[in-house]
Amino acid sequence: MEDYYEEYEDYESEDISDESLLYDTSPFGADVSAKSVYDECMEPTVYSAVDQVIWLLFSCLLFRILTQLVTIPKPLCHFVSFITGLIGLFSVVGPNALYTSILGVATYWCLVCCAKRSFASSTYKIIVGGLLIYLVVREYYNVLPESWEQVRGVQMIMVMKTLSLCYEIFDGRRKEIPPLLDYLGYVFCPATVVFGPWISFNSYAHAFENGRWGIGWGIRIFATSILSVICLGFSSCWVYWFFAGINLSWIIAMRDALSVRFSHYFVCLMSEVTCTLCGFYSDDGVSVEVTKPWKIEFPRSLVDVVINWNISMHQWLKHHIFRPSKQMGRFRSVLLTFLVSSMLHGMNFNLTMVLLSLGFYTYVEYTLREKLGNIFDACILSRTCPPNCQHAYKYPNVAVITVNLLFGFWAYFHLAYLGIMMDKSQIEDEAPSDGFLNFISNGLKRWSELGYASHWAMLIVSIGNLVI
Amino acid sequence: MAVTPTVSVLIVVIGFTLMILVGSMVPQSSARIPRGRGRGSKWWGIAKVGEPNNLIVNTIRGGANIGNNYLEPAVQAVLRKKQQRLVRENRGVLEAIAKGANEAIVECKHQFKNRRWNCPTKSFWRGKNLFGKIVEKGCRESSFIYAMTSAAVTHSVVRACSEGSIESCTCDYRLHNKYTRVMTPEQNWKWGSCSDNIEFGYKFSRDFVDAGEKAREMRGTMNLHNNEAGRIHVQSLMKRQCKCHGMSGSCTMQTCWMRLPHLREVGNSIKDKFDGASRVQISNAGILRDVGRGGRGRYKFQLKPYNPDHKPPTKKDLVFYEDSPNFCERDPRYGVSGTYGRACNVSSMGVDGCDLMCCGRGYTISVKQVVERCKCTFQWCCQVECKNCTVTRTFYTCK
Repeated sequence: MEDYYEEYEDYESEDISDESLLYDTSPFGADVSAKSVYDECMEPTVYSAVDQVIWLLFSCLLFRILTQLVTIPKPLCHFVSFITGLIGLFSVVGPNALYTSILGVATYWCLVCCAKRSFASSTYKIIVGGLLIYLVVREYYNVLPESWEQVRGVQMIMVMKTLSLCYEIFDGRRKEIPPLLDYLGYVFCPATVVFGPWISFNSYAHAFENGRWGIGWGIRIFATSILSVICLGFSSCWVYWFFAGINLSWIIAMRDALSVRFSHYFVCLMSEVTCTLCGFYSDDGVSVEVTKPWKIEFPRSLVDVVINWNISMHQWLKHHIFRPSKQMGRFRSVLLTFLVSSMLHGMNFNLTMVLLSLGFYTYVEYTLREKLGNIFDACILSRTCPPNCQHAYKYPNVAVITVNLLFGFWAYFHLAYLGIMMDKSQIEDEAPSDGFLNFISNGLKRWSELGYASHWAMLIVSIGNLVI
Repeated sequence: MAVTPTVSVLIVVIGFTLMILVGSMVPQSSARIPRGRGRGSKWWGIAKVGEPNNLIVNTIRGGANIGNNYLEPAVQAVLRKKQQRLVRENRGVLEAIAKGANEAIVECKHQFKNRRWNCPTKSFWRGKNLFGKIVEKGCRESSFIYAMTSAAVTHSVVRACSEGSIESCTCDYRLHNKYTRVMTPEQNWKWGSCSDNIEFGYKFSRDFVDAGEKAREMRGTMNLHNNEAGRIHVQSLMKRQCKCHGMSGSCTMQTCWMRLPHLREVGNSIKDKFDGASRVQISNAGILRDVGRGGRGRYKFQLKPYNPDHKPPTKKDLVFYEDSPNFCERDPRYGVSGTYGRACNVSSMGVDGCDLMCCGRGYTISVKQVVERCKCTFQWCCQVECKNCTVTRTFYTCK
């Protein structure tokens, strides 16, 4: 009995503890107080976020003061926009801003070269294809993956702006390519350069004529900033605290998807702040609205979610891809829209899977609800019925509300499933793997953990949909 | 009547002899104990200072020491001069140490609940060591106790730092260099998190816990190594948690914060090292390495594995140099009460199984009616309601 520990003598353990920690997904234990979540997580998160955007906000304010306080010549306005935008971009992404600047200038020269000849359909298609392929190539053959991750969103916005400009020229709405300074001012405008949203050249040019300063403007900026900071804290800290100590895979998926959504709200609200700071208003005079969180958190349908996820992105896709391609048939044009959308995201594997799934899901949902709406003559379509619609059963009807609520829960279930694919917080630990199959199985790991439940469910529903 | 003076003289003489004997024994025993266990362990008593049974109520919890530099006698009694100075210089740290010491006890009891030695502690600290006499032996159990207490103090001081309850430890997020954040994660990702807190917790714990341990003795060397191992475990379990924010899932900006591990994780990790602890002896060149630069130089002693085939202990390993008692029988020398009457698990083959736990003495089976909580339902939101059920349970206890 003296050798009570003999069994352990040859026990060589390097790091058993590390292995067991991999399964601990929540950063907080169940016993952590709200105060220490605030002190350890919320405070450093908010400070580091403010630290990163504060110069962007300053350059936005500078832009507005220089261009909208007194009337100055237009070229000077564009020049101010370009310079302040560069300052803002550099302050957020650092030296990586250089790539983006080079892309901006290079695209302009390409445009000028192409447009010297006639701006025919083929030229337009070449430009569109070229820019999209550029994004995809950058995603897969990049030298510095981290710096690309940082500027991918920025370049996406830039390409969207350029393409919308091309479309206007192709459409005949715009006679010629704007001068270099106007173009640079538009592309690098501090309001939209970092966090988006996409705005048309006309609404950018309108900004210089807006002279509305007032208390309402200040209050709006303040309120939106506070809201975005709350979303940030919720996304990084509080979500994990609420769900602390729960280890069910679906609850964890819901938690991570919730965190992704709130991070998205933070970015969108931040972009609203920069837009308002720069004095941008939408065409009907209210301030720019990029996302509607309540319509996503309490969804009516997946279609509603897709539309309200990023309203400006939706507008862009609708005007530039979906409508022009409508003669191809509904299903094809929906697919094309989601394909272009995923190309804009550089065909990033996770995002492409999510977007293509969404394309399929929304198509099934839309047609199914349309059929059901016709059969039961009720307002249970994907979109809210207009007040004067012809359906027999309308909003206050209990059955209609119930069915819509059920579809809402249905959408929420798919959101949790799709959302986890966009969760970046866990990817960091994973070792990069070689080989195409490994790459795919790594990417699909989180879905396979949930047994592809949402896809199976949707498949069954779509078969049912075909039968009806 | 003539007998009485004789008797009284005798009594006086015997009394004197006894007093002298006792008097000569007391310095002996008090000299022996520190040599045996090292001198840095008395501060553990802080864990019990606030308890009513020590007749000094609310010394720590009431915050009586805040506002002046005077320390309560009960605190003074367990702290060395250097430790007292540290506590006086860092206001608010005493509460953190006390909390840490208590957490260490809880964690130790949790980690060892199924073993023969189940981390017994004394409720009175006065004149006795908190963990009992087992600490006097340089065995595995002592190495765990030292590493765990040191880790718990580090942990608790870091947490107190981030909660802002230690005045001398501030952390200003705004001072971090802006351009470090474009660097790769391996380089400085210091911004946006209070990495200073960890530094402070580590340094404070090193100054405080290691005070009074002498690297010149075998035992002191062992204690210093185990204390350091405990701190390193806390440090290496710190994790940076990051989150990306940007347009459609890109990573335009990233916010990070440092996550302090749960003490349970630290405890598990140290317990793993306990299972694989290295038995050491001081190598001949041992003390030569102590270059006397102060600070980190103190830790550059050399511990050689007892079995020359084994690897030398790393910084994270626990070390010991004496055999543990088997904890089966009562042994007053080490304050071991034996495993009599301990509950055991009849179906387990491990150390909590009845065979090993009862050391072959066999066990008694008793059937009792117990009241348990059952049929618990979750009430929205957020309560759990249970009923009381009477169930029959079988208990196995060691003979």
